[in-house]
Amino acid sequence: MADALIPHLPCLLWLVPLLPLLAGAITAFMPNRMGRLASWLALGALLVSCAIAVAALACALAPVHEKAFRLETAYTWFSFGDVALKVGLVLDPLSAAMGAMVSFVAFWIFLYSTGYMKSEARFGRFFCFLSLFSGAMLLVVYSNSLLLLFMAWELVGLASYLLIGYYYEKPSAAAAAQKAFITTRIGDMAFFLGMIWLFGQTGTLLFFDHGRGLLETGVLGSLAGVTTVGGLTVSAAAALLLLVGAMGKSGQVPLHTWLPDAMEGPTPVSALIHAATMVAAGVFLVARTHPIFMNSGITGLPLTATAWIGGITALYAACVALGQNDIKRILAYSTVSQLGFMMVALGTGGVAAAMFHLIAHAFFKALLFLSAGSVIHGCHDEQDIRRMGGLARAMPKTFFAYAIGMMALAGFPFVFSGFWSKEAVLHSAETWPGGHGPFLLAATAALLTAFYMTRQAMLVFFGKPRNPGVTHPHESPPVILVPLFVLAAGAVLLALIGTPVWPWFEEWLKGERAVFNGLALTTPEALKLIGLSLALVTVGVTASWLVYRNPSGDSRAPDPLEHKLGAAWKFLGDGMRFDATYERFIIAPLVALARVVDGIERQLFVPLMALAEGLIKLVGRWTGNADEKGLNDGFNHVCSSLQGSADSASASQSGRPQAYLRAIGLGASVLLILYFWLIA
Amino acid sequence: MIPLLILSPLILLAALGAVWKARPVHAALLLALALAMVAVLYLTVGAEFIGLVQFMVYVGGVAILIVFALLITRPGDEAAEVARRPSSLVMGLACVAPVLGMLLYAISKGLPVEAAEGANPKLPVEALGRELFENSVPAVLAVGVLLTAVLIGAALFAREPANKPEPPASR
Amino acid sequence: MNPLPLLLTLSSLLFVLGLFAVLTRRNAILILVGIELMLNAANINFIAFWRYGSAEADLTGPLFVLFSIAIAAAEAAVGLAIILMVFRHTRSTDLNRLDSLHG
Repeated sequence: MADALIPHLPCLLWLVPLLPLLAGAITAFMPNRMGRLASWLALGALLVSCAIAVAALACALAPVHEKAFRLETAYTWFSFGDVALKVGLVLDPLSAAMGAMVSFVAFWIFLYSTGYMKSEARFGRFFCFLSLFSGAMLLVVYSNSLLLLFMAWELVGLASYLLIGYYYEKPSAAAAAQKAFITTRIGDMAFFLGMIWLFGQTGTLLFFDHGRGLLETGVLGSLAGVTTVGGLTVSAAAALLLLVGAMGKSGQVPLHTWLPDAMEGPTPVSALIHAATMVAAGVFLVARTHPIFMNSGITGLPLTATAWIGGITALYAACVALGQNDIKRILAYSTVSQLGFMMVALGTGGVAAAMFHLIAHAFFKALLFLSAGSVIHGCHDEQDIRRMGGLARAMPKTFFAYAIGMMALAGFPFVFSGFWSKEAVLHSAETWPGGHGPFLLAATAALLTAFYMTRQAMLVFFGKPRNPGVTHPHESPPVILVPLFVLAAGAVLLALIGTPVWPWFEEWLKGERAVFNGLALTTPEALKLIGLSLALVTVGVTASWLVYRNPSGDSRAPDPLEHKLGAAWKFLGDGMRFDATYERFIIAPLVALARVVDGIERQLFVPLMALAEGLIKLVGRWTGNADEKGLNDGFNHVCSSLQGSADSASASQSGRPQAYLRAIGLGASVLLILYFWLIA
Repeated sequence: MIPLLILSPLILLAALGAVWKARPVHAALLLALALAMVAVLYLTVGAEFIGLVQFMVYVGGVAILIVFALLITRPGDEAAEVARRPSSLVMGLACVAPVLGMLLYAISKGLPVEAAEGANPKLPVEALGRELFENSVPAVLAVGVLLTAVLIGAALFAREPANKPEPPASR
Repeated sequence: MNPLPLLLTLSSLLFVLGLFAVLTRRNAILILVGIELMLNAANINFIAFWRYGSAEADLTGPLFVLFSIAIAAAEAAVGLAIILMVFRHTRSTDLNRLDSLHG
């Protein structure tokens, strides 16, 4: 079947991003009362996209020759003289896997949203934005051109802005949307610069173009051969710029501040965009352009930077997650931390590990968010975990789904994909020739992950119910629960493809056949790592259980960790004061500058304008007077003097015949005298 | 010659009176006298027919017409004119003096020194009649038409208007 | 002596008197008087030249005078008729009153 499908793939592949974009465009014009129809349209488009993506994945899985499957298309979009901008799509293991994941997870989240958001007034608009986002994200995944990727990247950012600010009546939501857009914009500027630099150096922006593409050996060699500022090669400089772009989108320190605030959006949005897909776009970008990172000269600076930034982010976010009390913010910081993990894997050379972790993380993070949404829905829009408790008895199905997600994230051994993916990341970090720093950071972060996830579980689901004012929390309807179970199943099943016993994913990405090696788990390095992972999980969970074993019945009681950590607790709760620092050193000076400029405008320009206005009015008045007096009066004067002279002249017309006769007589005699004198 | 010397001043005096007198009837009658004397002048120089025609038409017709018109209109004494006489005299003299000067100048310039003595023509009425009705018939006819028109016109002018106001209430 | 200059002077003075009357009199009828005087002056001129002028026995002089007399009579009649009509309208023969054509 794959052979039958492959010739049609170049066309079918375009449908995958285009169908949701089209659904988004159509639903944009539908009025609010057609919201249900809009949601069906979005769901239908995405279902077809998902089907095609999965079929494409199936084709990509089919073994083709001895090298990795790749199907690329390229079309000239613009040409200026002899410079041509080309765009196209590529289907290779990376994009096939990512595309199938994105469309699959998105579909279940869409379905979840039809139940979760059904009481919203702008229901149709929500699905329009979701479709726009899905189409753009799929375009990012399948793009064969850095340019097309960038354009879709911007669209994804736009969709994120629209969705975070979905409840635009809330000022905090509007502010959060703006913050997200501006912060990722900083990353986008760096991305743009990197892209232009690459284009200027190589003349192409296609990834794969029959040997002439950016990621192919010929061009890579030329990039690595040219040195620019600071001894960096062009590929190193461009890679660093692309890394900054990825940092913005994927919330790495210091461009991470927008992610926790993005929780202002509805929960399905948090699940889809800020857990599973959009934030993974940064990681995907680095994975896609990894050859540029790898071939960047002797120093290998981009990869080192990636690994360290990832490690720092992972540890930072895990620490901060400890001090959060909002159920979604814990998960947001957890996402930041896990993205750090992925960056560590990318930096240390484990592209497959990073992608596996990304896909697994997508499933269980989405699952966690959706179950958090179910919890919030069931507790009548309560989000503070200090005010929850004992929900395991009240919402058992949600608890079951949540538990699977939590265990996968914390890294419960063997059965859950999270354990294997994290182990792969740690393996990659440990075997990195560049040092053990990232490895240590990641390991500590893994420990803390287990800790704070257990804390969240204890405070939300165990103990006595602590929610004042909330009556019975109730279980959610099937349309919300079914997606949860599907994602939970995914979170577990993916474990199968990631174990070292059958390193199918890794080999497939590299283009080799996977060999089932039952003994892979028994090598000393493997055992060491597995032991380490087990230890981390056990220590983290146990410590947390000890601290939070008996949560007090009072929701206002301080957290048990608070008096152990003292002032550090508040520091953690504030996200280590990143926001406050930015506010003080960047935003406040800009606001002051704006105020100064405004003052100049008011004091200087407005009076100048008033002066000009006065002058013009004065001139107008003068000309008006000149016209009135000069022209009009002059004219009148001329007319009246004309009339006067006419009156005087007509006085001779007395009407009396004798006067006329006298005149005639005189005149005639004068004439005759003249005649006689002159002539006769 | 002698009769001419006597007649001329008389004519001039009569004409002066006609022009100068304030009372209109006096002026009109003096005009009649002046015209009569002119007729006598014509008789003296040998244009008898013309002199008689002058009598009949001018004295017997025009002067009487003027007197009748004065009777109808009954103008008052021209007292205003009397009061204004100095200014009207000056004005009139200023206007006529040039004309007089010119005429006298023309007379003085254009005259032959010696008279053409042989001119003592007779005016036979038959010759005049023949001249009129053989050589100037169109002129005669035109004058006839003119006189007819004048007669009709004057009669038309002079009649009472059609809608004459009613005389005062029956007495 | 040639009587011609005498007669011509007479006619000139008569003409000027008539002109004076026309220009000066206020009564319309008396203006007509002046006009008749002027016509008569012209007639005297014609007769004088016929009698003492050229040697030809030409009847042109008297002929012309005849016509002149006829026409003068006609004109006097019409003039007086008009004056009477104006008199009916304005109850006056004062010529200065007829200035409705003034400017």
